[in-house]
Amino acid sequence: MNTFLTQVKREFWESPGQLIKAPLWLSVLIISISLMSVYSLFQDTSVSFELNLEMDLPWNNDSAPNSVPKGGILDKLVHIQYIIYLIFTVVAVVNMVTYSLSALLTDRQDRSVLFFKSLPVTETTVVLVKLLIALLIMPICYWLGAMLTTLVFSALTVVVGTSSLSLDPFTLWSAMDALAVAKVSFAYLWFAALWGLPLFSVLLLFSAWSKKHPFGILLLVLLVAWFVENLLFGQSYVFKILIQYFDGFSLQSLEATPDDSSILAAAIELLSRPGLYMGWIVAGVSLGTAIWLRNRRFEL
Amino acid sequence: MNQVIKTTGLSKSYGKKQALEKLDLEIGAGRIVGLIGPNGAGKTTLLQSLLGLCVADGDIDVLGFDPRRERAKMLEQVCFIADTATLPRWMTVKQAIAYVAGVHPNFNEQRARDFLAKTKVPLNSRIRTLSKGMVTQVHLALVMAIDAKLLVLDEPTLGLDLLYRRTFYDALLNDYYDDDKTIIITTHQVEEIEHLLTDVMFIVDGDVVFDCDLDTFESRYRKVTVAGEQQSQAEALKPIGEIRALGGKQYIYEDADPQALQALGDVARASLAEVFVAKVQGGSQA
Repeated sequence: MNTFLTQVKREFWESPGQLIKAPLWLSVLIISISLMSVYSLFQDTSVSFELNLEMDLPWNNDSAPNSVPKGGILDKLVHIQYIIYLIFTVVAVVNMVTYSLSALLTDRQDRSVLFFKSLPVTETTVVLVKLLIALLIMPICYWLGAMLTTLVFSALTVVVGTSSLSLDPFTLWSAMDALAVAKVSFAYLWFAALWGLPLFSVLLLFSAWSKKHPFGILLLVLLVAWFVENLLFGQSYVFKILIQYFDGFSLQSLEATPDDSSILAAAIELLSRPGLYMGWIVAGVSLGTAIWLRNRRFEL
Repeated sequence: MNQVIKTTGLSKSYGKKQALEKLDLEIGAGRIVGLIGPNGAGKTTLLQSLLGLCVADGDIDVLGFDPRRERAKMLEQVCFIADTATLPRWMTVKQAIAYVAGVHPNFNEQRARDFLAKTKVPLNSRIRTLSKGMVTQVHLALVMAIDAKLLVLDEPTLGLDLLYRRTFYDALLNDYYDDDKTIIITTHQVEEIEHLLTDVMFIVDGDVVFDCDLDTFESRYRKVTVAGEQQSQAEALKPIGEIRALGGKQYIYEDADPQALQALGDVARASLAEVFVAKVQGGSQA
């Protein structure tokens, strides 16, 4: 018997779509598109690949890992891997937010909370497992999907590239270095979890607090805060803090060529920010309140 | 008698409404207690207070635990069913068994599977695809496989047809109950659980107005069918309630002289429902 592990399993049973099916189908979709793209890329090297890759990717830099000639096909292929991770990240974030907002509400809506509350599981365990899922396990599922996709993409590229352009398969594989990209992404996932802790704790609090439409209530609260603050102070401190919070995540240490030392430097950079610990205090208060609410209110 | 539940001054209010008012309650081990009351009387609030589902004032002791502070620990010894329709609809039966096995130290997985093997419930089905009767069987299988000292049932057969209600209570009595287990049941279908009970409590406006064991109940309450000409004599004995019947009236008596009652007409045992209506409404029953 392992209550914590069983709770995690329960989340996979309850939300297979968000945790397993979505990253899996996304992988299938991207691999299919990649297959066609890679084929066209090698069939006609003049094919237009004018995607704007100058976006603020965490690992965005002039020279990618195991740098390849800028402007070359290999460079584009490396950037495609980044885009794959970006697509997975966007879908993951949407799912993490929607999951967090509904996590402590749906069992109250369908009354299954009475079944779960008839068993010896504390609300602390319930809330912490939900947080763990939103903050770490769901991103890991999408990261695995992205890694699988980039590996398949790399393998396809090697197959098509060696057969169409007679390139050396080892050079091609090394140039793309899917595992290096995966490693940096994995590190980012943990940094994002540390930084995102207050955000997802607040979302869980709204989930525990709301009787319906937690997202609407969250927006309403923000709107009221903005309105009242502007009325009283002429500016919104809440919004200022939120903007600083979202802006504050960028890690300079990872803007250069990501390697083991830059990952360590990024960790130190993140852990040395006072904002991180302020966020943890917000997270602690939000989670404590969510647990308090779950212990006292369970029916709508 | 070992006390399973003991409350002193148990109170709970929702805003201005007092749901429970300084309730003193004692329930011993091995009892099957029927908690009977009209809608809004405070039955569910009382059960929720005992289970730590709501925060009430006063002293509460359930199997030596304070449910407000030690709810999870207490629930290792306590089971409850609050309407069988509360099983998660997205779960499969197999997952429900695995889940309870994963979180409950006193759950016997094989026992649950054995119970379900006697039914037509497919283990791979999702709860939402099962009929309400089947869902009840699943919930019952889960509960009966837990070696708990206290079972709390809040309207457990709500919405079930007669056959499933009968099956539910038969299984409870024959396969679950023993002298070490205590069961508390609330239901509006009093007549269906009457034969199960060892004790009965009437709760009205947040207060227990009647608390009696069934042996005492049988000896204290009588129903007499009285023909027209003897009705004035019957009313002189101060019945606590009367029931209009074809060709006469039936009177409910409390602690009346048996010989005096026999002189009035046919004497029979009064049912729980009849006494409940007589004591709570105090008036006549159709």
